[in-house]
Order: sequence, then structure tokens, then C-alpha cells
Amino acid sequence: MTKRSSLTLSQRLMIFIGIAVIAVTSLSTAWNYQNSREHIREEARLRAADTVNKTLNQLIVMVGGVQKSTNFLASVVQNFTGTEKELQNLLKNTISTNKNIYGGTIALAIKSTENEKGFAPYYFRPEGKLQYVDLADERYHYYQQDWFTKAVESMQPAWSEPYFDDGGGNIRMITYAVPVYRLNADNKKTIYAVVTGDVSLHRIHKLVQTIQLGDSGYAMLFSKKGLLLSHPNKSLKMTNFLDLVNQQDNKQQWMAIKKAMFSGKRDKRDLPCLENKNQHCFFAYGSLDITGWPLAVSFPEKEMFAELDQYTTRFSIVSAAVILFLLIIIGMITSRLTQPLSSLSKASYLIGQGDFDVALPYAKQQDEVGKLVSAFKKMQAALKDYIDQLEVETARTSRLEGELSAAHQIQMSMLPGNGEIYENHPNHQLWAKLIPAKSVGGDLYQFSIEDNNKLIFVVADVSDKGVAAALFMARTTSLFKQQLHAKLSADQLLFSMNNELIEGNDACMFVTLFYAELNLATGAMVYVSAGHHSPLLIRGENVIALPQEGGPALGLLDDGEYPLNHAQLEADDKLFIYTDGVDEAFNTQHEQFGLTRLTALLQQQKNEAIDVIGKQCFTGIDNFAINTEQSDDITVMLVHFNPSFNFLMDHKNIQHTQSYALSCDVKQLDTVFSHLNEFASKHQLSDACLQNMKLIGEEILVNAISYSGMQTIQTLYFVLGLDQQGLLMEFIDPGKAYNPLTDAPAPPDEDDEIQIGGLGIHFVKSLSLEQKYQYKGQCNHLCVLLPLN
Amino acid sequence: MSLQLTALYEENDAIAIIRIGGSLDTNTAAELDAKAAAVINPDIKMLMLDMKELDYISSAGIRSVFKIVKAMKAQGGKVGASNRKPEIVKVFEIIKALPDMQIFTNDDEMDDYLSAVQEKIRNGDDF
Repeated sequence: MTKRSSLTLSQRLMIFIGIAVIAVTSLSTAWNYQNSREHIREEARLRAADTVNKTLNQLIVMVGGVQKSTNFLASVVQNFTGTEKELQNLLKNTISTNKNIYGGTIALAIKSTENEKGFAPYYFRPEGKLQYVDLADERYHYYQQDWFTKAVESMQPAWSEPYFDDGGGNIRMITYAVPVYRLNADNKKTIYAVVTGDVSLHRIHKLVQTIQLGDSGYAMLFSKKGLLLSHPNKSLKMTNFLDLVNQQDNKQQWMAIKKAMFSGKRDKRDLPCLENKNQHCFFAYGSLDITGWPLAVSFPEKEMFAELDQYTTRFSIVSAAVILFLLIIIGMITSRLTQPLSSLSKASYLIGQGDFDVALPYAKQQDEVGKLVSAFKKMQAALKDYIDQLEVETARTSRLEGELSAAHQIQMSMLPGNGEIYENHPNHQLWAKLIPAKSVGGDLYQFSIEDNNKLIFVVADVSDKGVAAALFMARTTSLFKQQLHAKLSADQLLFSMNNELIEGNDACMFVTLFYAELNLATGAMVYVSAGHHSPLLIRGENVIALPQEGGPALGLLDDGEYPLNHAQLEADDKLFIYTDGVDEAFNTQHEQFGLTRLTALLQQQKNEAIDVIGKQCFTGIDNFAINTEQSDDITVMLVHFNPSFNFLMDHKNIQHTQSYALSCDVKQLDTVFSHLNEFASKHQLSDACLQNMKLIGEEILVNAISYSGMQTIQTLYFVLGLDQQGLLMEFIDPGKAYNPLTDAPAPPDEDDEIQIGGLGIHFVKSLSLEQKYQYKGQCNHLCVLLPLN
Repeated sequence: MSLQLTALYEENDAIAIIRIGGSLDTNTAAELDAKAAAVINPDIKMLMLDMKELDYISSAGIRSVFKIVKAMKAQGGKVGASNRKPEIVKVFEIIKALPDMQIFTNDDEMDDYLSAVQEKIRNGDDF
């Protein structure tokens, strides 16, 4: 992962634009500089060359003038026939009229004059004033001087090397010497005289040094032999060229230049400066044709480009200032532009934290940022509205959920055990469970024990599911309970319920219902079905559908007929009643749980207790329909017919069996007495027999109720039956195991504190022919046989 | 089935009669206990239980009777029972330990006995 730059937009803009502007400015400056440099260099070269040429021309004028005058004088001397005095005057005139000539002489050869010391008048102008000196004196010996001898020897006019004319001009000078020849008697050319013109080296120097090239540019004039005739540094005068360049690194280059210079060429070069090899100098040279003297100018490039450099520096400073100003402007503009963005960023963070009332930055321009701010404002308002709306919706939803939850509880409270129940009775067990697909549903189950030995149980399924079904379920439930009080027969009950439900049922809701009455003493079952599928009967090794003839679902057809079905349950039969949420549960492949799977499951679980079977059934459905939403309400009811009237059942010929259920309360005693009265009168038993039945009934039941540790909600049973031997009474209670026949205290003496139990069992034993006790199925069973007469 | 109880005093409150009717069982025995407690006082020398209308008695009823006898013996009084129906007699007989009380089979016997008792009380004799 690359780390994101933490630079702000404004900083980045400043950097990017700054770099771009600096690059463009630098490039253009460099280009401009280079161009100007070339231009200036060329200018400087031309100027230097021009200066060289001009100076050379001036020198030509000066030196050439001297040369011409001297030549002319020499030509006059050659043919002169006048006196020596006249010759001297000629010389004087020539010198005085030619300002460029410092001095001059007409030096006659010794042979050419009668004067033994020779003839050599010399006119010169030290400090501008013409003076005369006679060179023909013993100290000077003009005919021995170089200018004289060399001219005679070479027989050619020539310029001398610089020298100090001691005893003559008494200055540094150069001399143009012209030998003059005349034909002698033998017609042979002989030296007659040497005519000279002197040029003051100081004068030449002054001329050369008029050359001004910048501050430190200078000119140098060399003699033909390489001696410095003119240099701004006077101490270097008369220095040889070779000595000048001797210390230079590029001596070879200088030697080549010397060769060119001294052969009369003109050129210009860039070289390390003579006086400072670390700098480059522009070096131009040429030579004075008539004397062969090289003239050179040297000009430091630094100075040549000084102005350009100065300009470039100024330009760079101005550019830098402009760039800085530009950056400041950019910074100001971008920060003004991005200020609202930064505020927006903070605001959006706060909005993210849930503060929808945070103030947004004010953007007065309708530019992109302004549009963004106004869009943001709209978003803020929309978000706020949305959240407000969401809160209202959420409140509404949670209220609805609360209502549904309350409805769920109310509906569940309509069902015995609030939706799941297990009842364990001595002669039967009942387990039921209902799970609605939604908060509320349309399934229902009910059961009730009527007339002490009749178990009534109902399972029903209202069409559809959800709230509408739940309301119809509630109506059906209350209707059922209401009808139950009417003590109707099963078929009549359904007929009546059907007609009631049709009334006002514009929505055409309907309910399928299975209703059964089981005689807990005999196992005889009467049942009716209103469009409800058959329950499954688990009997021994088999699981079979209970055969039934059904009527229409309740709530659809007026005056529907509901035929009665009869079945005889055997001991240990288990009845499985369910709604279609069981077999119509779907898995992820949209397959139904189906009757086959249900039957297999029951087959597998048939020997378990009914609550285990029921729970396994729900587990099986859950596993089958895993990852799918429950599609329908699911209800399962299991009834285990488990008669445990062991003693009565032993009597094969027993008749008129009647069982009774009681709650665990001594107040039930009156009910017991009335049951006994009823039974006795029904079977025309004697008063004495009834008296005995009552006494035994009271003693045993009160004993059980008071001392068996049972809860009030638990149920006791007693069963009556007749056979040839007499009346059989069996009492069944689910209390703690207690055999009164053996465990009861002995009958009391007169003075003892009398125990009801002890006295009671004494009555029982005294009044009955036979007593039996057994603890079985977690119940106490006590059976007594009473004589009928 | 319920229990009917009426009580009356004779001879300067030395004699009390409780008439018991109906069913004297687990649920009603407490009523007799309460009635007896209300009726019995130290002046009473003789308490007569008239069972003419009593149809049913269980061990709980027997126990109440025993308690009355015990209470009267403690203050030197006597208890009598009269007009017991055969089925009531049978229950008393079953327990074989009869309470210490005078038994009168009918009203005449009881009246004779009570007259004799009244005479003795008037004369200040023991009876």
C-alpha cells in the first residue's frame, strides 16, 4: 500500500504550479541567456577585431607616414648635389613638418664627406620642441650604431628593433633606416648615406593604449622579434612574447598563435587569460604590414558577459519575485477556494457523527465549490428528513412489533400451557405444542376432561396465517369453549360451530378441525373431522392413519353434516394429531416433509414417551427445513391412552365401569358423594352399600389428599365397577408411594389422640371384603371390593 | 351434603343439647368442633348430642365426638348420644373403642335421663 500524500490541495497546487512556472521561466531565461551570450560574444569579437584594425590603421598612418617621409628624404639625398648645409636644412624641414617623426638624421658614409668625423645632423623633438644634435661626434660614432651598420649591410630600408638611442634621441624608439647608394667612378653602387626616421616608442604606446575594451581589456604591440612595445603594464615593456606565455599551461597553443601572429595573420581566439588562467579571454590579433609588428587585444569574457550576467541576475531576481508573488496569489486563491471544502469536510464528519444541524460554510460564488456546498446543504436536509422519517418508521415498526408480541402472548395464553403443554395423568398423557409461522397464527389446540372420564381434544387449522387467521382462531377458540358448555354430541357441536362461524364471515375464512372424545375408562373414542386430515395412530409396531369420514371445513357451508366416527383405543395406543404445517414444511429444495417422512419418524420413535416423540417431531422438521422460513403454523398433539386401573382391569367380567377425576382438594368430597349417590341410584345399590361407598371413598381420598404431598392442580381418579362379587372401587393418585394397608398406624384406643388416617383405614378394612395396593406408573393404586348387600 | 347444628340449654344452663343433622364428615367436622367450643362452658354438667337427623358420619366426625367427650370429662361433665341411626351405630361399633358416653336409643330414654339429671342438679346431688 502506498501512503497517500497528506499535502493539502492548496499546497499541491502551489507546488505543481510553482514547479511549472519555475521550469518555464528558467528555460526561457537560459535560452535567452544563451542567445544573448552568443550575440554579445559575436559583437565583442567584431568590436575587438575592429579595434585591432582601427589601431593598426592608425599605426600605419603614423609609422607609414614616417616611412614614406624617410623614403622620400632618402630619394632626395640620393640625387642631392647641394652643400652639406643645404642637406642639413632639408633634414630640418622634413623633420619639422612631419609631426609623427620623433627624430631623423642623414648620416653620410665617412667616404662621402670631407669631414673626418663624418656628417650626421640629428633633429628630434623631445617634449614637442625641435632640437638639434650632431651625431658625428667621437662619443656617439654613428657609423658604428646598429641602425647604420645594419642598413649598410642589408642594403635595404628596414625598421630597427626597439632600442634606447643613447646620445641621440635619448628615448626608446624604433628607427626606419634607408641606405642611400650612389654609383662611383667605376659605375659601382657604393653606400653614400643612411637616412633615418625615428618613431618614439612612447608615442606608439600612447596610441596603442588608446584602445579601451571594457574595464580590463587591453592591447599589446610586439616588435618583429617579439618584444613587447606596448602594454598597459609598463613593467612588462620590452618583455619577450616567449617570456609572457612561458608560464601558461597551454603554451603550445600560444606558440601556434605566435607563429600566426608573427607571420602577419589576423585572427581571434578564446583562450585562458594570460594574466589569469582561470578566466577565459577573448584574444584578437593582427599585424602592422609595413613593420610586421603584431598587435593583440585581450578581453576577459567575464567582462564581455558582465552586462549579460548582470541582466540575467536581475531577470532571475525579478522572475523569482514574480514566481513568489504568483505562488502567494495561488495560495490565496486556492485557500479561498478550498476553505469551504475543508469546512465541508469537518461538517461531513460531524454529520457522520449524527449532528445534522451543523452549520455549513457560506459560499457566495456559484462556482463548483458553491454548487458543492449547496448540493451538500440539500443532502444534509435530505438526510435529516430521512433520519426523522426513519425514526418515525422505526417507532412505528417497533410499536407494531410490540403489538404483535403482545398479540402473540395473548394468543398463546388462549392455548393450554401457552403453546406447549405436557399433562401426565394416571390413565393418559397428553402433549401438545404450537409454533406459529409469524408472530401470531391460525392453528389452535384445546383439550378438556369432561364428566371426569371423558377427554375431549381438538386440533384445528385456520386458512391462511398471520393476523387475520389469528383473529379467526380466537373466534373459533372462544366459540369452541362456549359450545363445550352446551354438552352437545360431537356431530352437533361441529354443526353448531360451523353455522356460527359462517355468520358474518364475508372474508370466507375457514377452519379445518379434528375433534375427539375419549372415554378414559374404556378407551372408546368418538371423533369428527371438519376437513381435517386423519390423525396417525401408533399401535404396537404400526403407525396407521385413523380411518375417518369427515365433513366440510368449518365456516364454509351452511348446515354441514359431520358424521360421527368410532374407534376403540387399546392400552398404550398413541394418537398423533397435527396440522398441515408438519407435512407441508418445505426444505431448501422445495420438497415437502410429507406423510412418508412423518410416518417413518413416528415409526422410529414409537416406543418413546409422547413428549419425546413430539419434540423429536419438531426437531425433525427443523432439520429438514433448515435455512428456510417456516411456511405455516405447526401444531402437534399426542395423546397416550394409558389406562392403569390394574385391579379393575383384572376383573374380566366387570361391568358398568365409571371413572372420575378430582382435583386434589378435600372440598371435592361433596362432588365425590354426589358421584357415588348417582352411581348407587343408577345401579340400584342399597343405602347401606352407598353408606359404605361414601365412608370408604372419604377415608381413602381424604387420606391421599392430605398426606400424599400432591399439589392442588394434580388430579386423582377413582373408578367404580360392578361384578358378581360386589362393587369394586379403585383409587389412583400420583402422590408419593404409600400403602395404607400396611403403613397406616394401628386403630386408636379410647384415650389416644385419634389419627384420621389410622382410623380411616380401619373403617376401610372393616367395611370391605378385599383390599389391594400397588404402586405403578408413578401412581398409588388402591382397590377395594365391597359387598353389595 | 351439609351439617345442621342447633344448640339449646336447659335447667339453669347446666344441661346443653346439640342437635346434629346431615353429614358429619371431613369437611363438616370442624363446624361441630366450633359449635361445641361455643356451647361448652364450666357450668355445663351434661352435654347431650342428639343425632336424630344425622345421616352420615366418617372418622373425622367420630374424632369430633371424641374431642367433645374429652373436653367434658376434663370439667367433670358427661356426654350423651341419642337417636343414632343404625348406620351411625355401625360406624361407632367398627372402631370398637366407644367414647365414654351415655347412649340413648330414643327421645323417651333421653328425656327420662335428663329429668333425673335435672332433679339431681336441683337437689345439689352428684349424678
